[in-house]
Amino acid sequence: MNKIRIGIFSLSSCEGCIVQILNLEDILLNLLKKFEIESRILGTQNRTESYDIAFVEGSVMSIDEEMELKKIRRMSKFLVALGECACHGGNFLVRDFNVGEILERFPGSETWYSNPIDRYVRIEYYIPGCPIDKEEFFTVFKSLLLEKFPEQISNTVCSECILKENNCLIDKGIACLGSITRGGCKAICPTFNRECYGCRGLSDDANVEGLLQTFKEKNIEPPTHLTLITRREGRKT
Amino acid sequence: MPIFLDRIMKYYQLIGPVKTEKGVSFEYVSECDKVDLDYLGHTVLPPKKFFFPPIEEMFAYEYDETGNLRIYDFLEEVSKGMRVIVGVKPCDISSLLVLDKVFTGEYNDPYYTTRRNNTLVVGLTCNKPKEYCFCTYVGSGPSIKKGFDLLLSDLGDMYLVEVGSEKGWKLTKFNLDIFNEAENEDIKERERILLEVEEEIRKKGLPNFATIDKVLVERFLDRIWDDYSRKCLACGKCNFTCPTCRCFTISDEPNPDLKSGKRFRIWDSCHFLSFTKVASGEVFRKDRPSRFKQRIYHKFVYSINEIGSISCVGCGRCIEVCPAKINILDVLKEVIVGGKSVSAKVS
Repeated sequence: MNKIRIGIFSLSSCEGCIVQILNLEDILLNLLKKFEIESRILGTQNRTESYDIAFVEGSVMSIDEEMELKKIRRMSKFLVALGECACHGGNFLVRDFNVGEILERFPGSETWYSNPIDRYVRIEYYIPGCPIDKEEFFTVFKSLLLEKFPEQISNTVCSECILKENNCLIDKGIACLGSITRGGCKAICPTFNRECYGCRGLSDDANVEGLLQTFKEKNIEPPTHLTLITRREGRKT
Repeated sequence: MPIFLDRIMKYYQLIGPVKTEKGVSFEYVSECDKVDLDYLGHTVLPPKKFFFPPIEEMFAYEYDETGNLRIYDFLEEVSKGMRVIVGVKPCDISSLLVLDKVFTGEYNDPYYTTRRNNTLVVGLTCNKPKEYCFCTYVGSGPSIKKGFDLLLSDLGDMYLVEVGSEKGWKLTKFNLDIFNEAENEDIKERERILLEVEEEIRKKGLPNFATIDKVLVERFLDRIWDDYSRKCLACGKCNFTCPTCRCFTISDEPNPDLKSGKRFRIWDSCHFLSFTKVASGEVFRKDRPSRFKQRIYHKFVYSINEIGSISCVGCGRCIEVCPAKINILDVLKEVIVGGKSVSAKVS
């Protein structure tokens, strides 16, 4: 078996996605035995020439990070965007609002970017979520080892929620975004009575206007971050 | 009834409606007093999930040391053990008959068929309809003639039991000490209750859906579909709660050793963009109206050609769970009465 080189990199992020990977500890140890996976979690020293698969979490917030990302791209066969920040820009997009105040408090911040990584480089696969689902990560990981790209999950959080036989939060007057959000999280938030806040991004052909209409009919205040989600998805295309 | 269920549990795995904090769901039960036979209308998910599970392991594969591929079919697991599902309402019994036509018809599905043969269906007639029930209009209830092994009817102080099959008869034969012979009045009482339920549902004053297929074909290009698809959130909940929706996708998952793995089949929804995606990446139903239409046309038009009957049993689940509150009855009514017909042209 050839030595498979895996790189795991972190740009601007909370590093929660990497914690999710570490949470796979039992399986990871097993894999290390079988595949001699060389991994560079967080560390940037002793870089090899190339990676078979590179996972990148976090969004690009500076020119340095942009350079770093482009370098990783050149060195990697497959590049996977890991988590909400890398896939869509993440919570750092909050920066887009109230810029004036931020500039006052943090001088120099006008040089910041906050962008999903596919604005700079080609991405082979996206693993969305804040944080990522460790099982989804593992499934994708195994497929990539076989040089196979799994189908990007295209169902909605709603469809996974109903499989848990949950009651609809919208019916209770709560602004849940499950109907327009890409599934794969097994509807973990609505199952615990927390509304879906759309961390996995919009589902394919999501009907945002339809949901806003539904909210209006039910007198539900749409969440402010919905604008953020639609705006960042607008950027992508 | 608890005594009967208790005895069933000695020989069978029991599935029944169980009251949870979220509503009533069909579940495997270990204590028979958990079974709630007084539930109104329908459960959240239909009993379909016990015959055609949301995620089903079909088989495991493995390359052995010599490089030969070996397959372990989970059908062997499926065929172990007998089950009894109690408290299945007439609409859901009818839905199993619809699924039978699909999975045991021209192409026999061994997983479904094995589960069906392994499972006795103990039906339960309704004493009251729920808000969205419309079984009467699609001919699936409230009275039912076939599809059950036993059929229970709550007559207040006792249950009237109708035997529907040889297997059902065996279930009663060995427990005759807890059954009394039914009187003619009991049967009449059941008829009276069912008639009452039927009248209650008839009050909705819906048109007859028997010839809806022809009208639907005429209105294939109607504006209705654009209007509704602007409202539809395409979340797929209607498909997943539908007792007759049976579309699935196939997914393979390798094990960490990459030499073995499993094949799954997973429920799929015609509302998802990926539903019609083929290997080349082409998507056939790109626009939302075409996907919104698909569910309704499949149920009321295509299904007639496929299995000889419509695929709607009038349980009303899709109406109840829709976050945008789209009512399939409103859609059909609008198709029949409203809207300007635009003749369809197929090139």
